[in-house]
Amino acid sequence: MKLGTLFILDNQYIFANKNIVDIGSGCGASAIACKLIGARSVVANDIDKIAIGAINLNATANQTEVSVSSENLIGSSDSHWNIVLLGDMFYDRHFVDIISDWIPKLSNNKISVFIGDPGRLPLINHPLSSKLEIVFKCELPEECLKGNNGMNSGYVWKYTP
Amino acid sequence: MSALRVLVGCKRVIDYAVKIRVKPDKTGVVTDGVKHSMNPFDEIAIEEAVRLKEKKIASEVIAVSCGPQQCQETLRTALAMGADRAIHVDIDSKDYETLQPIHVSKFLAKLAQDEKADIVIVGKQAIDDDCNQTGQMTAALLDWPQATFASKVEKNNGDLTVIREIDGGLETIKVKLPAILTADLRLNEPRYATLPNIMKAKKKPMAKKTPSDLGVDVASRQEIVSVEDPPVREAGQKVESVEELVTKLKDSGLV
Repeated sequence: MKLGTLFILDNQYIFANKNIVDIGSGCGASAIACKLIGARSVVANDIDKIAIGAINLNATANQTEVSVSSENLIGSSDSHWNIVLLGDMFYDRHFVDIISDWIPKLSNNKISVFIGDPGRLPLINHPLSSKLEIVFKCELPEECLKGNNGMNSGYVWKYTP
Repeated sequence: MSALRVLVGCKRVIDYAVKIRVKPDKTGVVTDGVKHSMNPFDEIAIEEAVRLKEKKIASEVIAVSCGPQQCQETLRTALAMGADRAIHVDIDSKDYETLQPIHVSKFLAKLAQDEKADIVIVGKQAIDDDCNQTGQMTAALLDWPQATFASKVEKNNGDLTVIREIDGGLETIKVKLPAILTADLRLNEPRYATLPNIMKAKKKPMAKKTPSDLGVDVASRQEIVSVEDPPVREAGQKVESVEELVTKLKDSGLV
């Protein structure tokens, strides 16, 4: 998620020296950004095997390495995680339900949750949105607009119970 | 974020580029195996709704289509253009043959209330039956103001300022919300549904309703007596000179 990546690069202090898990990592941009700005550990997680390949390629291109995992980590938790990133995953109502059950559990374990999303309706209309605070907002770039008819802003939310 | 909800009607019609053939028994036109697409004026209606969303005036765009199963393809196009969700009012093929704007406007009126829509946008007419009735009838059923043949829409405070295309030129009117708009040709130029958007549209929700869910009687109010081809144009005549033309015109008593 490009937007989350921008936020990470602009707010390095939040992510430096932290153990970070990037869920639905896709091309791995956010995970790689975390690694480059000095996160203690980064796991790029995506159930798609092709995404895992892309993450490895992109990491090499950025002269770094990130740990990858293709296991479905949604629902699980680990005591040494500090931050969980969720990028552009809220296109489906059912899926939002699953994730919204998981987020408070992470939060109870003192894990910060950041969400990157262009304001998709299943997220905006979900009760979860009342506990999300916008921490970053920007206009989507041209090439991103073409793939997201109807949405022209991008947001990063932080879960604040 | 503003809370306006926009309901858009989009009709599946025979594609504008297809040559229409009348059925031999004169009961209608041949639709089997013929390419269909979204009514072009409804594409303009969807585009306007998506632009309202991009301007943050609208928060949600709901596309509606009434007809057989294949209408879902039309709705997928609407979703790919940027609608958030879709409602398919499923009409069986026998009822669909006699479905009229009065029925569709009843569906739209009921859905506008159920979905708490603030704006309903439809194309000014469909290119198959050229009725130009659905928007107006929906406005009448809901008792909402209507701005038909819109070529420009702006929101000012609680009202919409709409420029309408009329015979003598352009008319600017103000309507209070909730309101019905019907889209004219020059309102906008619809975007294409690109491949990434078509893929994402598959994940957007599509609800299915029946006429009885919406409490609408689809019994026909009209009887089709006969559908016929327009008369074939007769061949013209060639003349070699102006004199010959004048003579011919005089002979036939035209000048």
